Amino acid sequence: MNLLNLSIRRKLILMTMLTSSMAVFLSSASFLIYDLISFRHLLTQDLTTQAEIIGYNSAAAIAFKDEPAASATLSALTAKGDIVAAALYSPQGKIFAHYFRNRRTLPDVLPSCTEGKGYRFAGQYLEVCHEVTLNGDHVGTLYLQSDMRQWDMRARRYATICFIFALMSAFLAFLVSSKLQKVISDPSCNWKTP
Amino acid sequence: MLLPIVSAAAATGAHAQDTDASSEYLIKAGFIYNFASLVQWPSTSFSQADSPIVIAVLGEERFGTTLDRVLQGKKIDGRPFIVKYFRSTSELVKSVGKPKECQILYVSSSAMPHLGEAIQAVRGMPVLTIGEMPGFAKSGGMINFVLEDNRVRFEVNVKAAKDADLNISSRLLALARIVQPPESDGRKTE
Repeated sequence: MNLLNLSIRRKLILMTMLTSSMAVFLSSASFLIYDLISFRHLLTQDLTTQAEIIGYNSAAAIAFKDEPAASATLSALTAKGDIVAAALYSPQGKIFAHYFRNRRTLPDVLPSCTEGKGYRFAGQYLEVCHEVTLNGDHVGTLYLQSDMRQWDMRARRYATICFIFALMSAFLAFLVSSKLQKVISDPSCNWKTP
Repeated sequence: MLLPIVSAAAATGAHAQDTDASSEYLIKAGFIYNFASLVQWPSTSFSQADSPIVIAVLGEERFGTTLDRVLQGKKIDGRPFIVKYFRSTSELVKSVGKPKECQILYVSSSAMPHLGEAIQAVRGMPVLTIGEMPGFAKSGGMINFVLEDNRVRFEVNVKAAKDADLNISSRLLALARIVQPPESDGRKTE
């Protein structure tokens, strides 16, 4: 089908539909991107806070080498569905206590994300390393890994909503422009020259 | 940063193969330091803001130089540590008979026969008593080291600590076996 061979009526409808859907699509996409970036930031903050709480609660256990108590503290993370793995490492970097969901495995030695900001995105996972201290002494490091399922879910939902709205706006544009195009394409209407 | 010696204590772990005398005491020394950071003394037990935390060790010197080495250069809230060794209770009573003279009393197993006198010497004073023999916590001591499955663990007599105006952190109590003195209802919880 050649666009140039379409009637003026169709061309007008098509132009309106395309313009409006593109505007809706672009504006939703920019919201989507902004929202996902800030949500990613929020997730990082949330996981860091989580690490601080767990780190505080397990500091004494790791200082007193009480592995069952440390494991018990980590197992409280079952309540957080997105945290798939957690581990406490001794100051020498050896694993001391761990927790994981769905048989995920953990590195035996501390991953090298401790340097710098304390978190990193690795593949589809968010990892946080938090220094555990007792009375200012470094007694160990806590490692948390989140599968960012909330982020995935949000991205998917948001994209679906964007898509539906773009379709709806195209449909509305079709209805409105079908009516309005008559102003131009209807032969019965008078073309006035200034 | 931790001094290498405490890192070494952390590395050894409290496992069976490590519980020969020296590493056991290395672990205990590290634990004593941890206890000090999780116990709050009343402000009256120090004469100055940077007064040292004095540890009196009663009985045979099982620690050798371990305790001094572990605590060397360490501070809690700006307070350094001083370790004093006493062979007999009378020596101890003479030295720590007044408050503010000592904050921690460690009773070695060799001083068991004089346990009653030792505890009596610091009764009513804000002194954290730590021991390493069965029944220490029940006899009025506050923290007692026990070996459980070849791991160093500890019992805490909360009432004794409370009576001495010492505040033991819940983070420490969560890891301890709580011991009730026999004059109370005798319940024992783990």
